[in-house]
Amino acid sequence: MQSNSFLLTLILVMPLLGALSIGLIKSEKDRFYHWLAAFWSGLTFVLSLILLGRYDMNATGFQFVDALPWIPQFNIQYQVGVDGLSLPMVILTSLIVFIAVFVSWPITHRSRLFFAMLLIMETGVLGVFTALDLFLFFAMWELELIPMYFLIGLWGGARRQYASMKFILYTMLASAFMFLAFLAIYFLSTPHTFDVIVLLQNQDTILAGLGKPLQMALFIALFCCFAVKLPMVPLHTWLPDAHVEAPTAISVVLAGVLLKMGAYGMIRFNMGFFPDMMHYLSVGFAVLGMINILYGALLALAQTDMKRVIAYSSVSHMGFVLLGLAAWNPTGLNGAILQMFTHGTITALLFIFVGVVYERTHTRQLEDLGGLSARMPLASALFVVSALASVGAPGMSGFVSEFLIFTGTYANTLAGTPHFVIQIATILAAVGIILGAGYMLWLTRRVFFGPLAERWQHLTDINAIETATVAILMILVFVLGIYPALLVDYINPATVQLLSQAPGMGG
Amino acid sequence: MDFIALIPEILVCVTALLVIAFDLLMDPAKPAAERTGKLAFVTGAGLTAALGALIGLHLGGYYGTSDFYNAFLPDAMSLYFRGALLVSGLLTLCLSVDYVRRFIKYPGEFFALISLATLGAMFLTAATEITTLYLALELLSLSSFVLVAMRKDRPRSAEASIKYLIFGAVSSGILLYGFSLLFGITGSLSLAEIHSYLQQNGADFVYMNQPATQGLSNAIDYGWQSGHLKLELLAAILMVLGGLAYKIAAVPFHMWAPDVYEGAPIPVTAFLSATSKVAGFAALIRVFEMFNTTNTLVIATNFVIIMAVLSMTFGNIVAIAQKNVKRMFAYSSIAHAGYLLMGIVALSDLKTRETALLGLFFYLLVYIFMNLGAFAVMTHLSTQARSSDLHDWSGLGRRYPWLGFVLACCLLSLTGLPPFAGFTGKFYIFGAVTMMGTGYLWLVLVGVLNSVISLYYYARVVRTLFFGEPSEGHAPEAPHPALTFASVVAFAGILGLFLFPRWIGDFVSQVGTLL
Repeated sequence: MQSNSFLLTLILVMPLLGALSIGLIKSEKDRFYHWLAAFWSGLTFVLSLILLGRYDMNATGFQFVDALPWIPQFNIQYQVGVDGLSLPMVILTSLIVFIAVFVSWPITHRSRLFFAMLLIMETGVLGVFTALDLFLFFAMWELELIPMYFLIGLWGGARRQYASMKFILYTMLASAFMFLAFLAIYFLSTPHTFDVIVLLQNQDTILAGLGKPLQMALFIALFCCFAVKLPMVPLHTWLPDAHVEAPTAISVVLAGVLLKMGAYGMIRFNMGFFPDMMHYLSVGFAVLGMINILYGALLALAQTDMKRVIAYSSVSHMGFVLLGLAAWNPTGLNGAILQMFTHGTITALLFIFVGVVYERTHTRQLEDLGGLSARMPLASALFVVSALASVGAPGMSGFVSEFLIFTGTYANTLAGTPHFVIQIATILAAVGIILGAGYMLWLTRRVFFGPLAERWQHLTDINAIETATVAILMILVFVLGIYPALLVDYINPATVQLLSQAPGMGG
Repeated sequence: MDFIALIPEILVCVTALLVIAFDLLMDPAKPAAERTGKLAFVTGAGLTAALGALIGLHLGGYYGTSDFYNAFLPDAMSLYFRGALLVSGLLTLCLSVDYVRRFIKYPGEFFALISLATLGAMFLTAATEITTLYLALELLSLSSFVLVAMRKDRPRSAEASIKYLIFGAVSSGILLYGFSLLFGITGSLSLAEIHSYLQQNGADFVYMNQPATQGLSNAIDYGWQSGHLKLELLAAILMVLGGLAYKIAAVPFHMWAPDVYEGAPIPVTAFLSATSKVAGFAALIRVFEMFNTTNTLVIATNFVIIMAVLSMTFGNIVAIAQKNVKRMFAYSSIAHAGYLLMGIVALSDLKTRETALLGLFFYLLVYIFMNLGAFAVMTHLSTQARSSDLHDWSGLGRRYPWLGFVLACCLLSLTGLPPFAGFTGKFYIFGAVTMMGTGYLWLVLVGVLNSVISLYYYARVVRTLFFGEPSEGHAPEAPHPALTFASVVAFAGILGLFLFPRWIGDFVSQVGTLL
């Protein structure tokens, strides 16, 4: 039993302390709570960078594990830790939330509650990515819901109440199935344990003992829950509503981080606990991924609301993660995990621009916009770069992850018909790239180019704070695009570890 | 006779009498509002002393040396529930002071009756003999009937009381009839003796190898098929369980709850929802344990499963349609009876019994905190808004940030969302049922899906409080300190029990035989 370092625990507690400090300190000063939130989320980000620096990228398994007894009657512990899968997500979360604080600079209406909720949500999301106990994982998963409900429902657009209620009911219904699956995993298998490390190491003895039909049922229950969060077509309908109604910063967090919880859950639990099932069903993953990519892209083409276009592009891009899970080789899985990270940064960028435009014009309807580059040259230049990143232009991180996924899935090692079906799905999914180029360039043209309407003459260009948030993300996109090994080196050991459990892969 | 074990009860009884005496000595010319504070203080001091005595006895590891001819069992279980009920009584007292001062003309009677009802509830949790159990139940019920009618200025209050009384009388009759059958069958009034009699001679009450028959009369004579219980024992089981189900408001014995909850003064509603339910469940746990014998268990369990599923589903679905918050809480309370009945189901299996007990004990304690926390806030809000209709509460969460926060937390805990103890409680109970095997997973699924349904109407309250705009009008009035105190205790309870649930588990592991 290694000793607790409490570094991860510190990272988890920081946002919570921030929320508490916001709740306790009362100030009339202008933007006091903005600065307070920036301080705490910044501190969290710095700590997560320290975590990154001290992480040993050559070791496999979990690091920085903190374990404390919680409910000894059920062997429930408070246990957190990171591996190559969760480390990028922790960095991404703390970065995106830090940026979201600055993105929400224009929010002055009940800003105190807003930032408190944002920080509580950060703890929830970080907890989801680091929890190594199913009970803790579920608690953290649900902890993120309530702040999100408030954030959409209080600061959202016209139909915010509908959107927030839909969001919370959808997610709660999905997590009900996860709860059931966790209960069954704990109570029906022996030894009764919630310890993710133990379960991952001994999945072939503990979970395989449940019998095939029950295993399949649990697999599907977990998959449904994570598929809602991902979101996977046809369980995605909450996402466009939530995105459109949410304030900019929340859209940034929602697309940047929250969707990754679904993908993370699939890799950690579906793949980690039931590798046989996952391997057996990989054709399904490829086909569902392909449908996600094409359906999302086609719907994005048909939207008239700027935010909806990007929301559906999210659906499309998360499909790549599903596709990557079907590969069963390190290339594809590394690509999928990298895609989670890059999609987080790139979509956050795009949503920031939607916010920039909306803040100035108070509309997101494409027919009202156009020609904004005349008044906002810097914004439009940066948007073009972000759009290219989203399309997957070489030199940027989106290209790397999508390329890895395509090569990985095309070279899948499955035998017989599944091999070809996945290859065909890959080829069809590649069409999604073309569609993606279509809707992104079309969006760019309709918003920033063409004739400028009379009423937009007074618009100002992107301001310093907005530029700074964009710059941070954009640098990250370029750095990872040019030298992806920077992150893949961290991811790869976890990938190898996961794949070693696949049937016919040794290990 | 060892009366040391009864000191808490004696103190509660003395408190009730003292309150009445004080009320007599006070100058009746003074307005009721002035008397309220003093009387509430006396009641609070008395109940606190009782709670202190109870904890003191336990810390000394003292469980009493006598079981009063098998009538009153001062075991770990009754210790736990008597403590919980005293906490419930104290919280009710705290949240009611301001309300009583404003609206109740006879504060002495109100506080004395709260003490007496608590006394009945405490006896009920420790009763292991049929007459004691019945008398304790009646003490609780009769005090409650009067409490419901305390708002003499409002006809609805009286109407609710009459409804409660009639339903209560009928259920008491059913319960008594069931008990009389049991007495006739077994010749004993002690739960433990009835249990062992049924365990030994239960086979005599099962139809064995009767020929297949035609017609209803033959069916009743010989049983529908062999292996069925004979009618007298079957009727006794169903009647006893049904009579107790009235107290916990389980479907189909719930009809009184919505009208009574709505018509009663809101602190009384709070009291009924917590004390009455917890005491009823404690009695049900013991009675169910009495039927936990080879031949009677199946029918009792199936009956409880049916009630559980009906209560959860009916309660949650009908709650969606409610506009009055008190009425909504009545249906929420029915739904919670359903969740808790799932815990009773899991008592039937030896390997899940311990988990089920932990779940029931834990959830009932948490239920006191979350329900009374919510009611403390609602008492103030309904006094301020002069209405308990949800749409009149629009934006009140902004006007009273702390109270709104506590109410939101309690509602989320009732839904079963972390980081509140309601989640842990549901986890225990659902986990116990899961542990019974894959054949019961459907029941867990029903429970979990019902929690999702409940989120809809609980979230609607949160939405109204925080998303709505406050209406113009009177300036916000700060809540009474006692009420704020109750809300702080409730919040600390639901959060503290989530973070540190361990000691409840340690305590429950001491619970041995329940009879």
